Amino acid sequence: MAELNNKSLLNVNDFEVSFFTYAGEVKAVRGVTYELKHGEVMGIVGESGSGKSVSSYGLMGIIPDPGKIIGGSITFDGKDITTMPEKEMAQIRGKDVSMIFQDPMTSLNPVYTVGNQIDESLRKHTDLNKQQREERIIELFKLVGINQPEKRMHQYPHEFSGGMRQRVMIAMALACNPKLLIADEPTTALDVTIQAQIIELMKELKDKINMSIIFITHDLGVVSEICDKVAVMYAGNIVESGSIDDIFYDPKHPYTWGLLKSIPKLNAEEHERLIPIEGTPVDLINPPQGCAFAPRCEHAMKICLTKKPPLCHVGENHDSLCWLNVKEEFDKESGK
Amino acid sequence: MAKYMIKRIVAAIFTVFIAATITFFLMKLVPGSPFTSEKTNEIAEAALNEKYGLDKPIYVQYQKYIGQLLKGDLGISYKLRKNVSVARIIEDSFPISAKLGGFAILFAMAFGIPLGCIAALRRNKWQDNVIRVMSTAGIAIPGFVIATTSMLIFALSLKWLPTYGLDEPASYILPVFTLGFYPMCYIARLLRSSMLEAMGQDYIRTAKAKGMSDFVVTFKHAMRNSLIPVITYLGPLVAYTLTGGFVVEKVFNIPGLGRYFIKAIDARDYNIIMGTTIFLAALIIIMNLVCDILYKVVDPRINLNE
Repeated sequence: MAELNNKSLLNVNDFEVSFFTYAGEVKAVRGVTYELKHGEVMGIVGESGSGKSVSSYGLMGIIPDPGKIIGGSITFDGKDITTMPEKEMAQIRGKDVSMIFQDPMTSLNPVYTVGNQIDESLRKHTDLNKQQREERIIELFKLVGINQPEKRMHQYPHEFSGGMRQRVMIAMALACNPKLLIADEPTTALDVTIQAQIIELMKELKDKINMSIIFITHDLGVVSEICDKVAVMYAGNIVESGSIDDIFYDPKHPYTWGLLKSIPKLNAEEHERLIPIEGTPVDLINPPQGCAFAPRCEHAMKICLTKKPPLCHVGENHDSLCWLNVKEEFDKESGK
Repeated sequence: MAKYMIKRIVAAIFTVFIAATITFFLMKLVPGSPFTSEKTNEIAEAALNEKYGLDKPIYVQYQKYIGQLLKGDLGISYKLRKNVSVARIIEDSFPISAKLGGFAILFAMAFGIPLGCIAALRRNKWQDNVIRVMSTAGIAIPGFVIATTSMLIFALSLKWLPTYGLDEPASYILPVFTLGFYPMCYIARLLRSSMLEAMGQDYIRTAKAKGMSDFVVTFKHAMRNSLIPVITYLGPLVAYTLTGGFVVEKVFNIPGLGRYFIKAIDARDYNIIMGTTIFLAALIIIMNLVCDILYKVVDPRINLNE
């Protein structure tokens, strides 16, 4: 165990974020715990509002107003970044941890050249001189597959297509060789063929550069392609986490079952319909007393509505937050 | 760029012509003549009208005026400064107004832009509330109230500043403040709202995620994107302010161009009405053109040729 800890890059422990709005305290992230090792790729999946983006903004220390970290710790590279002073955090942000965002069309500043925007990061975080920085930008553009980098770096974002802009964003994120890359739905805003290209690029980069990646998405297909492990989030909690095989072939949580059932299949019959998860996400101002998913869960028992489920280790590195797992365990034991 | 400029200049000449035409006929619709007064009798008035060609039908007068205008001749004053050419009047008084107006614009920008920034950055905090109340009040309070109140306080009660004229540097303070207060408040409000909009954009989050300091995020990334509405406002503002505020020139007794706008109408001094209007129209058009070019400088997405 000690050996494992040595290798871990990121330890998120019982992390909690709330937004203090006029309507009340919105508990967006309600105790998230996970670990990420060097070079590991983790997918975070979940529906809109499940807290997957907010929890990752916490890693960068850029939780938008009126959000606040209200509990837990994040240890990155041996240092707790939740208590770190802003000045020190600014050194890590963009250098050791960097991020790519959902919408490349709006994530670049329209009034500066893309080269200038990458250069900004290099100027802040490295000691390279002007010429070295320029060479680095050209190298990065080649890495992410942008042709004619010498010319393209002097162009403005509006002269790039959506897919190309996302490549620029990736180049920008990689500029200072980060140890951790957070990709917040990097393909959601792109059309399908461009999505495939960006995923292909990310897979290539993952092999070329030894960095850890957190891949936030609601596309389980993407997760299965590039991630080593997956965390499924619902209502601010990780409800199930495990390896790709665990989650796809042996899911233990009813919410994961629902997610998997709602993916369209290529070999589906014409009359077959997708099975949606019934109901609506919970109100995070007044989260339910018991399991947050219970009101939508067809397997819900009495206890689910009143008591929070415990985290069950259902396999090696496979955890699930559900009373069913407790029951299963109990049945197995009493059956003996 | 050259093609665009030529197109704009041709359009500008046409616009000035339209403005001149409309003003000419509106002006002639107003009853009275420059020579109507208690002292002149009807015979003298008719003689004067005849001398200056004011007895002819309106379309003939219009033809004659436009003919003169095309030759660059703005005519002479009938009454306010008898027989002095309008061009000369503008030449004399415009520099005075322009100097005052120039200072006022600098004042408005030098204070309006930082105030707008502070209000946006300290949104809903006390700084924002103070600036918002002040700028709303500044927009609502008419110029003559500000002029007379500030004169009462600083010139008459405290005796810190002179009451009228522009004889010493200190005499500029009150008129510049009066003239620049409204635009300062307006700029502050405009910039506050556009800064807030810019600060909510995704590229601000990107800049923060790169580890940029608040200073860089605000002044490099947000500021440039929020300047467009301010530039739009500055164009006409510069034209109006340079040609002088009537109220300010009246209250502080400054011999600028501003007072001619109103006085000329009172006196039916037709050529001055026309001259000042055409001058202001041309200035506004020029400033709008400058603004359009500035947009291009600030925002590379703007293409002037389309």
